[in-house]
Amino acid sequence: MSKLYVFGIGGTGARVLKSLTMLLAAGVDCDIETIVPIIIDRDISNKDLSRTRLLIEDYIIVNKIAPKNGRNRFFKTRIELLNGELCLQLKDNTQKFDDFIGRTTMCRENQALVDILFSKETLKLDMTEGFQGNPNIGSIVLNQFDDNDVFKNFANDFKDGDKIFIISSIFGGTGASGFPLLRRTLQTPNIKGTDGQVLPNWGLVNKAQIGSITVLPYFVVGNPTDESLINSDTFIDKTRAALSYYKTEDKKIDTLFYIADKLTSTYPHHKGGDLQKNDAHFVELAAAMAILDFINIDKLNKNVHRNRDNIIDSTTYKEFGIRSNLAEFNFDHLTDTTKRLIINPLARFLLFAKYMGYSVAKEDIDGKEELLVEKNNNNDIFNKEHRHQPYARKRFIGDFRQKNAIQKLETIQVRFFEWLLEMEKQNRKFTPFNLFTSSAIEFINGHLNIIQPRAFNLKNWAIVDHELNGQTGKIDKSLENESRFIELFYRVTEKIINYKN
Amino acid sequence: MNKTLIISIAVFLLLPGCNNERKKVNTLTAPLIPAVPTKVSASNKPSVNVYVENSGSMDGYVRGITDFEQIVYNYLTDIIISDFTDSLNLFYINSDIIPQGSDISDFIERLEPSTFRIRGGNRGISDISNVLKTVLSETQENEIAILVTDGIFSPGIGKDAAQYLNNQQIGIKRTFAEHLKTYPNTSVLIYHLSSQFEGYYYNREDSRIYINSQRPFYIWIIGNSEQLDNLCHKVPTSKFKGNGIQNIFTVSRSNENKNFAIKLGSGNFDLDKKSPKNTIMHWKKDKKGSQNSPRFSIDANLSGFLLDESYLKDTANYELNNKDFKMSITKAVINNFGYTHTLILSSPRVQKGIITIKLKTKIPGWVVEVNDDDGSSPIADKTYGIKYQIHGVYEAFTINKDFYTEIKINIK
Amino acid sequence: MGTIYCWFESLFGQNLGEYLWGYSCDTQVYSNKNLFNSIGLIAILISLIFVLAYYYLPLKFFNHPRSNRWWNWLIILLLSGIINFLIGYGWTINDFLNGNIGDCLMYTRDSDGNIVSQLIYKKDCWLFGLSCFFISSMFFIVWSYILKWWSRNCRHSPIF
Repeated sequence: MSKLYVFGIGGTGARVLKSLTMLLAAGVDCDIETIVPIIIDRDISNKDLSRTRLLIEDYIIVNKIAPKNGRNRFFKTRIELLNGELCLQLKDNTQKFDDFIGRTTMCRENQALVDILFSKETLKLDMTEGFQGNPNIGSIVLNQFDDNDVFKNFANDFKDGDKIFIISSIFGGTGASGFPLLRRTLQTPNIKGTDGQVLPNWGLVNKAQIGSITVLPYFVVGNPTDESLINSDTFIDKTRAALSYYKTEDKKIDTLFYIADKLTSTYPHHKGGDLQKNDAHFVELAAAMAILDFINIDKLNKNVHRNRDNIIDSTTYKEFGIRSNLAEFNFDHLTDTTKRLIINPLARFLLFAKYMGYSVAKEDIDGKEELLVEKNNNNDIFNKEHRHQPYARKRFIGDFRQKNAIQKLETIQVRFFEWLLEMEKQNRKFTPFNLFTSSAIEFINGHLNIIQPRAFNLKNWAIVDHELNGQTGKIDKSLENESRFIELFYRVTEKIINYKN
Repeated sequence: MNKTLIISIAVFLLLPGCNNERKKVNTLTAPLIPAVPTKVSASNKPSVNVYVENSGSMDGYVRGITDFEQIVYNYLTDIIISDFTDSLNLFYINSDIIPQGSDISDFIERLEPSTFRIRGGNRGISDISNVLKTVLSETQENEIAILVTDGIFSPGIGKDAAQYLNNQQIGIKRTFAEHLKTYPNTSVLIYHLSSQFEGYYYNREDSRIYINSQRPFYIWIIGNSEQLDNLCHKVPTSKFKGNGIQNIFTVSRSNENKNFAIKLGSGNFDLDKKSPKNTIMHWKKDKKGSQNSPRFSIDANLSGFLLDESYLKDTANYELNNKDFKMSITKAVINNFGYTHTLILSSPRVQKGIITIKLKTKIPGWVVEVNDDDGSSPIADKTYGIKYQIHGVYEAFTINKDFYTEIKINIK
Repeated sequence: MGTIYCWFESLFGQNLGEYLWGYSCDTQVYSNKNLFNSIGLIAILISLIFVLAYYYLPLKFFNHPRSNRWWNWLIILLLSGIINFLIGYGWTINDFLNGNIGDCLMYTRDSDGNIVSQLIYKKDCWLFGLSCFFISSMFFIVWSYILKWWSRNCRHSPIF
């Protein structure tokens, strides 16, 4: 019944939350029933944010119909939005930084101090697009947390036993500044709301188990343009500066996860807004795994060290690694723990998506060859077979696929394919799957024994149909068709794909 | 002691004679007479015992050379040469049976009134009932009796003729009925023949008139049905000399076990699987041919009743229980089952139930025509009281059933 | 069994039918073996085997997710039917050519024993084979609707 409140700060937070959502959709082991994602970002038009929001909204719809009592794991973990909102809305829409700090209303002496501290460009910064790599600005702006009624809903919802996790990047703007501020706010007792009353359950919030992941640099941006102040060259410097500040976080957090990648990709240079849409990266997936590690019951003793008064005794620091430093790697190169965690869920969910007709194809767009995720009629096995197969009889026919929950499910499947495709495009390519093939079983790269043995007379998609027809009779007859659909496909993919080590 | 022995031996020698007390052997006058008449058959062939009536009224048939002698001689010879029998025994008969050996030619040669007289017996009375009784009592298993007689009753003077005739009829009936108890497969065949007669005709009061004209006489053949049937095949009526056979009377006991079967393919029906010979199902109108009234045919074995072809083919001699049915009869196609005829039945519409077809026994019409009821004077081609003889025989055979055989068909 | 085959008697003729019922020309009763029972039993068994194979045998074309179309079922039905056709035809033509069919069923003869008409022809054997095809197909359909419900992949083949 406990919840995990995940604060994702900035663009990184949004992207890690997206990876987490993909993993949960795929049915990864999660020792908590409900996750409440909260994104903190001043740049509300951030494309990454909107992608994550749409994904989570779709996830919530599918989760409602996903069976919780059978064997099914797809969409099993509940995602809940605080007051129906993903984003923590920061107050004050003041656009320019100098307006925000109220320079013009300051006395002359303070104005002079401000002029020393901040450059002219910084003072004129339009903050609607984030802090553009200036954590110093961000720290000031985000200090409004404690004034914010925004936390009221969070406080109202919080219960004893709930946990907190913060995702942030140490480079960049919003994330770097937001993490320590947020942590301080959450652990400051007796914070009052605008009505002057102490926020409810705040004592529980103060004492709650808290983890965080700090994402260190894993990409660079292209050369700065006149319109943008972001400069990758300053990343490392800024990282160093922020890290020295974070030393003070020791013993304030139960578990602090770090992740970085020296092999960086170069992203197109956008300071934010609609165009800040970065491709998914394996680092984000790994960061999402940190969240799962934090709430893993088996790892509680390692992750959390508290004394008798429930005060943090020491902070556990955790890093993530893969076996080999390869530019292109697949499941073979992951550690056993990671393999056990993600191989089965990802492969099963992908098989499900492939059965529904999705794959990656090369398309010619404006003379340029692009890779796109599309539904190919030839590969749409469900469409071809549901009229003939017993598993679909009287249940998954007619306008079944037009049902809202199923449409959302398929949308997520498309996003899942895109997410995997994006991770393949990075310099550090995560290529566990052949996303182009239409084969039912020959789509997992590497040499691991993942696909289960099957009868000699069954080939390709017939294996899946055979399994579907066999499993359909074992499912609780009281389930509604949409729920049954998910349960059925989970059972079948579980039968076909079962990695053990 | 010695005397006793001689007497004993004498008695011993005479004892065999006791068995034949009914046949008085006139050892004084009859030459060539075997001491003990033998009636032994060498094989399965029946023995034939021929009894010629030698009452006074028969003299006219044997004076000189007559048709009577020719016919009888020829017939008996044919019987021998057809290999029907190996043993033919000849007798005179009136009130007694007088054996005459087995030599037919000698027998016929000696057929003269004088021989009749010499041979003895009580020639004055023609008690036909008694004669038949005597003949039947002598006729055993595997024996055929042939009786040659004029068939004329002689009630005698002062007798009630009508009552006499009736009594004779009853007596004959009883005699045959008794015989049938022991030999139920017996048949009787009576040939009506004709011959020149020159001699005294004795009327019902035993008064005599000298006549010289054609007179009827009769050959009765009595014996096992099959054997009689065999005899008729071996010596058919066409072989008779003289004027040939004028008329025939025949009678047999009813035999309901005659083989028959519904002919497969003779109509639009299915045979019942359990009783295909006598039961049909799903009977419908015929599909083939111009006549489409429902029909079927029955193959049947109608032999063994001594009936000739014309009798068997005459549908008037059959009785059907269902008057809707029409029947025609043809000779059966060659087969291994002994079927002699095919009965073709048709009905205006499909019916269900049991159909019975009876082959009726009959007294032929000629019997009345040839019968002389008066008997006071000879009437050409008529015989006094012949009707009563034949009726007596007929009634004995038809006590229980008045048909030769019955065919039952079940239509489901 | 014979009753079922007799629905088709108008095809192969009453006389061949009587032969198969076991009518003996020698006894004029149905004393011979009822061949309808034998041939019928074979038809039941063969159609049963094919039905069980189609619905339960784990092979391509049988109980396979790609073989559950109505025409897959139809092909198996035809196969079963053809085999029964050949059995029915073969059995009767063999008896026909070996003279095992009684004369009274084969021919009508006149009083002299000459053949008037022939009653059973080779074509009747073909048509009997055809009847066997139809009847075994009927059995196939019946067996299908009794036995298919537990089939993993084909239980809604051909329909329902």
